[in-house]
Amino acid sequence: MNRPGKAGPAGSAVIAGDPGKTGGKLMPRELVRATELVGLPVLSITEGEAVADIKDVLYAPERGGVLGFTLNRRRTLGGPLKEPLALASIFAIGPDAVTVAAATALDGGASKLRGGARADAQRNVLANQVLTDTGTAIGQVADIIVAIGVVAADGGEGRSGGTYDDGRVWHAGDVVGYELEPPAKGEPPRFLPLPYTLSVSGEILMVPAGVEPYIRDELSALAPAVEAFRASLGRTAETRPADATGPVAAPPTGPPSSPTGPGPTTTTGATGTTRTWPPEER
Amino acid sequence: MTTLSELVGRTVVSRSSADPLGNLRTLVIDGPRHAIVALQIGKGRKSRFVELGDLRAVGPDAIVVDDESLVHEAVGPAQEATAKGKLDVLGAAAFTSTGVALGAVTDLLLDLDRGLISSVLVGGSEFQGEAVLGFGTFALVVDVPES
Repeated sequence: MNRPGKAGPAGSAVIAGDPGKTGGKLMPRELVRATELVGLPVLSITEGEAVADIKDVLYAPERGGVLGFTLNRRRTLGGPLKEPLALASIFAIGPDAVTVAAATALDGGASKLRGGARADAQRNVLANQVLTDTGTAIGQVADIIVAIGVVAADGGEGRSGGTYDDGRVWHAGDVVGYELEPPAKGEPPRFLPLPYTLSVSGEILMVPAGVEPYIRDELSALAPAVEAFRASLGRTAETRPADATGPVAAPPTGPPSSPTGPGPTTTTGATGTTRTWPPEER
Repeated sequence: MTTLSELVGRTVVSRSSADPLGNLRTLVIDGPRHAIVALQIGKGRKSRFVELGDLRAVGPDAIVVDDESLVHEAVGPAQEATAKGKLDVLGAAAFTSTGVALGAVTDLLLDLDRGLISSVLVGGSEFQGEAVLGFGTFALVVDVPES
């Protein structure tokens, strides 16, 4: 339920009308390009105000998802805001706005980043090479594909095994695929589903060779491909990262970690559960 | 049930003097309470406001207040923004709490006895007043069911 402040079935909210008349957009599309999120307003739900604009997406491939967003001020000639907006402070990532409960969600964003990550430790994967574990180059990353919707109460940390505790394959804020550069000029882009775990090195992103049949040439076809691909991995005893079963890392109390972020690692994939309102303190 | 579009332009009259005080421009709304707080009379910076609780009657041809002394200048951020023309619910952008733009608010159905918004019309869709979560200069935000 997406309701601030009150209990009761959210289904009671719409008493008439056809979602088709609003462009069929009452429910967000589930997957979008990260670049589509840039420039969206950050909407304070209870105040009805746009409190910032999305400047950039903070992505940590080794964590399998978006850490948060850097922000621009809304006013004319507004520059960047110092504090990022952490995923843990977000109510929902939508196709037209990123929503927060109130403007105070922007306070102290750096300290709320998942696992104590630093905003400047994000990894830019654009133009990185994607390689299969049998040594075949698949292409270069042109964009990352982000799951949108109501952000899970656990901020994307509640994974167990290949899926979340709710059995979903991904949660809002997870990066579930890459858009690859067209293999040749004039050809369409391709969309690569990501596995639950992903080996990441300096400029190479390694995926299982079995992914190739699941590559699609339309974004709208990617979601079922991700589910099918991940289901296929579930039958192959995939290895989880050693720290994946541990508790969520607390923000560091000492000096910050290397600005280049964690080294090569693997990550668990993830989809959106409903978050209660008001959002729980995390 | 009254709609806001029916009320807009209706003359506000003082019962004590029978003087017309101006025409209703829009309503000041408390989004999280989905409540009607006040009425804006006239437009622009010279517009004035009357609290909903100070109305004597809302008739088919006029809105009546006991005395002109109940009509005042903008008080508080919401009324000030309304006076500046930044906060008019008719035509306001409507968003869901999940970040989906729905279009512009076309009308409100009002429960004036209880001082509440009964429902919000956005294009061809109607949302219960209780679905309103917030209202500000950027948007009116409504709750929608998840799939």
